Amino acid sequence: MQINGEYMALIETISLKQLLEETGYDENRIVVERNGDIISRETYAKTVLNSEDIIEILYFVGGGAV
Amino acid sequence: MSTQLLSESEQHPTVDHGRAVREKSSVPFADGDDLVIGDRHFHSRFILGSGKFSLELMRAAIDNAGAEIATLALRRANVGGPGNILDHIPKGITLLPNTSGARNADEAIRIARLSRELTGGKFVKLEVVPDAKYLLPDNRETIRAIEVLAGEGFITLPYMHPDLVAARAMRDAGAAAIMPLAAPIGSNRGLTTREFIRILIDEIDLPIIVDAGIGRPSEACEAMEMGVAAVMANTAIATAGDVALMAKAFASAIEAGRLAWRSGLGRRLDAGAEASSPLTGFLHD
Repeated sequence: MQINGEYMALIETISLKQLLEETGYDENRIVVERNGDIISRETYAKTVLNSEDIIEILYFVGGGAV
Repeated sequence: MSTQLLSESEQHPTVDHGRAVREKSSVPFADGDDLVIGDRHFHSRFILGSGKFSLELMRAAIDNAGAEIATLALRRANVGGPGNILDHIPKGITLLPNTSGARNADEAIRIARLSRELTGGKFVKLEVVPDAKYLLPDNRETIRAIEVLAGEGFITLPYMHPDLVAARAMRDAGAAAIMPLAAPIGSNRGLTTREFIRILIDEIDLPIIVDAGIGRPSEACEAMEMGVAAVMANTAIATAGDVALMAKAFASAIEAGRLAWRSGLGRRLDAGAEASSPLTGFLHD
């Protein structure tokens, strides 16, 4: 599995919600994309990750233009 | 949904004035002189970019700017760090996510959709910038992104090189405002494209919002005197000696320029002079 460009071994079956909790992300401040699809917050718990997934976890930072 | 977003009931009350008045008005101040973008009304005409600030200073900049719209950028998230910017933007500020980092329409569309998921709002500042040296926008790809995103209900504010043909295409594609650059991003070099921005003001019936390059309050004021609907600034504030004071200076300049535009500037003589005191009635009568 890839998270934000870094490879991570998936040693047990976990949901996206578990992953976010265990890694310490604040669900209310992020948006998650899996294999190019946006995952809505309501479905984090039932989104089961697999070893082929490419996950992007994004949040807002300060920015004006470019 | 983020607490920073306006609920329907919190939005600014709708007034009947429609787009900003263009004719002379007897109303001396900003009463009813709203900035209208899409279906939203704003009282402030100062859009603040949130880059290059510490989180604490950004709050001071927003407060002193009196800004109602602040831009943000989407990036890969880190765990920990200094805190999240959304925790430092006051409630009631409309979040305007940009698509910085996008080099083509598809990337901009992807960022816009991700940002909407996070803000719950429809606003997006479209930036399609394939050029890393001068950070100049790709108008053609930007038009393509507007076509897609406007169709999905986004309120798009495209950053663009001030070109009339492109601006018309952006309007026709469904843009809610046009954001021409004044000078290269982050340069603080001022209103170098004024002649072309003036053409957009004259010909495009959408809010023209100057974006990028404005370095001084006087330049923001000049843009407002010309008749732009709003000014966006970031680097000019963030790199100033006193961020809060400069935010206030810009706010004053933007308001002054708006009042001057609403008033209509006094006429200019190309030659000679004309006394403003009566020339008769005393010494040489």
